[in-house]
Amino acid sequence: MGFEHLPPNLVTGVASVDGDHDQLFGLVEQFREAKEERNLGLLRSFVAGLVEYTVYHFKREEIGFEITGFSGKANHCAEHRNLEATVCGLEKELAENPQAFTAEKLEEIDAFLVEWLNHHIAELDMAFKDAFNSSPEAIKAMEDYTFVGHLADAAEDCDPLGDILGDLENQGEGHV
Amino acid sequence: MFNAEEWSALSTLILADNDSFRSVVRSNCRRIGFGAVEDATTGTEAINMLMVKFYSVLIVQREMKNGGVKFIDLLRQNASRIAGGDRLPVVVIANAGATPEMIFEAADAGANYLIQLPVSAKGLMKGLHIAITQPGVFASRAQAVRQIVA
Repeated sequence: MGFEHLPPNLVTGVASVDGDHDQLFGLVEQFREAKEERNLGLLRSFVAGLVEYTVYHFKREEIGFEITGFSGKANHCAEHRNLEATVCGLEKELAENPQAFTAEKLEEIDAFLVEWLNHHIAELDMAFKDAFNSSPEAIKAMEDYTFVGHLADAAEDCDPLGDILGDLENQGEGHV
Repeated sequence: MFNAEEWSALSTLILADNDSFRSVVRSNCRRIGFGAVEDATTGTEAINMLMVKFYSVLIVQREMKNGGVKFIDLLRQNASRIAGGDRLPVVVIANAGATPEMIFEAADAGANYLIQLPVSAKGLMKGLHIAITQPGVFASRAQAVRQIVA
């Protein structure tokens, strides 16, 4: 099966994982477009997407680790936590100190993300493909763990209008 | 909140003249799992698409060349010409730094929600869900705040 963004040499044969990797490479390509345009709002949107999808994808893989009892779980999860911390830090820094994101720094981030994905998939993810592919239970559980299911509670609790209206609405409550 | 199957039954049209904007919204909509995600780069193109096909929700870039909110106003005035008429849910996406006045303006034009950049799948899911299932909530909330401001 061909993918839109995922290089053929990084296909693991685990459909849900490969689909996620394709999304992640797609996000890195979008980051590249946004950095050329220097639009902060869009750049932050791509990074927000990267954070959301990275956390989701790692959780999905870790469901597979639990079911299969994958022996490389500890080392693999440690790499997951490291990248989560990096991209969450990037999101925070971009929100708080956008002027620090020079063209040179954006190039470095781009190179880091591509290198990380290539290294992680080629050297770590390939190690679990046989364990996953021999466990129909793991394959099904991972396929059943959807992105919208993963985000549903957080989406329910969020209030996109709150940042704009929150202070005024709080004032109104104070008057009642 | 909709489940994956419910999102897959929905379609969306994205109207934006900025390539990167369309790209970020389109990819978020695909990750959310919309069954169909299409886009238009001008108001005329969007109207032509809306006249021949029903979409579950329309997403409009506020800061497009001829004004996203102005487009919604025109859309509502010509509701009889489009599939779904004046019941078509519309979500506006504004640049960062949106103000309450922008919300009042969007509500007055007939929008059903407003989100500002940066947009995430989580925020988009919430805004789209409210616009589709509770289309009057946005205008009511805007009106309540307008009274506080007054």
